[in-house]
Amino acid sequence: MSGEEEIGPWEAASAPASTAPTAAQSAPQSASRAVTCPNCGGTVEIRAAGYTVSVACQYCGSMLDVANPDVALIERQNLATADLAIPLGSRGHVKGAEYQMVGYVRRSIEGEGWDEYLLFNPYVGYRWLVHDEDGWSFGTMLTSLPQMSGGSANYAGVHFSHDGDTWDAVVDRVVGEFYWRVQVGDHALLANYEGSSATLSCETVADEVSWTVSEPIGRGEMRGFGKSEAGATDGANNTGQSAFASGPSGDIAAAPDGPLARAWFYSKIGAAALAAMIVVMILFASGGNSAQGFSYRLTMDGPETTVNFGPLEFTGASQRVTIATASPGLDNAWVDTDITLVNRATQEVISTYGVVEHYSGYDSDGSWTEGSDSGSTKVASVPAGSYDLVIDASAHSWPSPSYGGRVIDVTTDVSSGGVFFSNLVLALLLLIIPPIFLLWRGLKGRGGSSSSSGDNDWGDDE
Amino acid sequence: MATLSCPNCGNPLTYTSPALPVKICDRCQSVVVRHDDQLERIGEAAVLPFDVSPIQIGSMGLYEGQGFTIVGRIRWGWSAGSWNEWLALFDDGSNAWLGEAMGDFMLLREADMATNPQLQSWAGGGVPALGSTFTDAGVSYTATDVKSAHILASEGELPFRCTTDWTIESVDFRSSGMECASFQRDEDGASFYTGKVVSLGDLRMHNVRAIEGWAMPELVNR
Amino acid sequence: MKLGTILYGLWAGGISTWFIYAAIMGTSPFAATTQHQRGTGIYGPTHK
Repeated sequence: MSGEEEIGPWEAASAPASTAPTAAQSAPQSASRAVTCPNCGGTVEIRAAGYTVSVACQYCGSMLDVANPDVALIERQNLATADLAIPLGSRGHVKGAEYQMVGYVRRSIEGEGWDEYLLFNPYVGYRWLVHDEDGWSFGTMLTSLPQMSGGSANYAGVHFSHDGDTWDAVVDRVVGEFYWRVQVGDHALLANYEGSSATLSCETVADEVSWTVSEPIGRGEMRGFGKSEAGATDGANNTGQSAFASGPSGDIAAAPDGPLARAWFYSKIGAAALAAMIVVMILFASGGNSAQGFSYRLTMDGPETTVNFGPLEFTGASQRVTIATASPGLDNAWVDTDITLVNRATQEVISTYGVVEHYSGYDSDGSWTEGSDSGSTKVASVPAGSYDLVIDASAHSWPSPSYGGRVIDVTTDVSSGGVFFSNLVLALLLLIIPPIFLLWRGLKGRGGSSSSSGDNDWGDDE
Repeated sequence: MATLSCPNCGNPLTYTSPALPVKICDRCQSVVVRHDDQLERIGEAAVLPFDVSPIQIGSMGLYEGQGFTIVGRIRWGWSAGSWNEWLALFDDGSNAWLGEAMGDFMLLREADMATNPQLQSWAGGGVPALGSTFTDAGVSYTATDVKSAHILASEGELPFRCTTDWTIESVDFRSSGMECASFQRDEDGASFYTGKVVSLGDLRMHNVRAIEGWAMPELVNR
Repeated sequence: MKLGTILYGLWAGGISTWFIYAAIMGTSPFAATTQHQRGTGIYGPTHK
């Protein structure tokens, strides 16, 4: 080309940065350049100048082609970029390097969509953060080809198998800048290959094939990316750490994503609730009315005896009543009790029963024992009042009735208060249902269609 | 190494190697060819569009045991984008191209097509189609990219005249390992390059461009 | 905060609240007892 080269809508560049090899490092080059939108005249910032081919004007939404020095208008489209999980231009740290989010596409397969965030670092290149219903994953384009055999791909010594489906993905939304031409409505054929801890994505557009490897990551592995870069970077500092866009652990600290990470998160909440309940249980153990004890005697294998004790005062509006029966030294016999609490005022009856049994003997394995010489029955929701305790009791010898009228001593202790342990078990089971369900879904989701978080990555939620 | 004055503006021009007779003057963009001690201005090069490449003239690195310095660049453009090819001059006087696209790098040296029958057939005429393959030294290469490209701009010292009307058909080959290759055909003939996919760290690159707001990675910053 | 977390928080909170209520009232969905109005029956009133 002869004559003065028209610089066009690119801002006047400084003299081409060719320095003599021995020259000292000149002042750091600016990281971005501006382009004038041919549609609205707005100034559009290009962060990956030289690589970027398409950029969406943030003012009028037009898609601009900047592959050539002349900026060509491709298409108008909707704005609304403020709703992105990672704001355009924000910086963050992931997988050991800092990146800036420079482009966003939303794509979908048969209506089910996901977000793709294009990250850029001039020294590292491009990476992807993909967000779908299973959570986040980190993608890198392959620079060498996987080895194909049948329905499988081999890459970096890892085996990836094809799930059998090829999907038509369509671009629904575009924000920011990209190193290839992309606009809303573009189609691509996707095929996914699952490996043990990563996924290979094979994307075909008009015979051209590109491969990406993606691994699931937890939200805790992404730091920053929370605010737009305006005012958040220290431009002069390029020797040390670049300023991050937000504070430690970033704004992504809210509830983690992906069924497995959620399951873990919920388990922690559930465990906290359970701990509180155990504390309550301990506190209540000491409350209530203290025990009152009664004794009576039973004739072994004799007729059923009825004993009547009272009044028993239960002061709480409603309480648990424990009736503990014991016969010290009981052996090879059982004591049957029908227990009735009768409210003196209302004559309301609460019936229950208790069995105390103990057996022992010798066999080929040695001596054995079974049961205990004491036992207790717990009654729930006993209303306040004065009660009579009526016990119909009988004692029986095992294995066969005895003769001789041996008499045994039985004591009964009645106390109120305390918490049913079975309630705690029930609470635990109920609390554990959602985490178990999510765990099942997360493990099942490995064969998902678009992308999956596959293996568990228990992201930290900070 | 010879330093001569630009015939257009008088700016000192350094010619590092006899193998690189073409130099773009930093000041006036003249394309100046050296014949022994004579300089001939053959045209003007386009101004490079701004880019955030980490490589610059003067960057240095190490490849397969040999040190090199970046002395020149050609920026190629095609219908849907552009990329850089940086000229690396090795300590032994040989040179190679460091291709840069989408943040990935390939280092390629010119190779002789006569040794490989498949390459020879392509050398005779035509351009390999997308998906075509060849095998060399036990490695299988597949053509992954075919495009028509033209020179957008250039800078520094170069081995050939690079005028902006120069159009090529360029085919990129990849393997399942780090090997890669490139076939180029222009109106004068075909040339072929082989090499490897590399990263800045692999090359121990230093004296890279400082870009405002970005920390240079450890491996690179010496 | 995401909807899922809010829902699970309510779920856990509800279970905890029920647990505390059950502790105060000494109730349990499992405790098998029968309550009924005592008839004059064969025992007669239990006290004079």
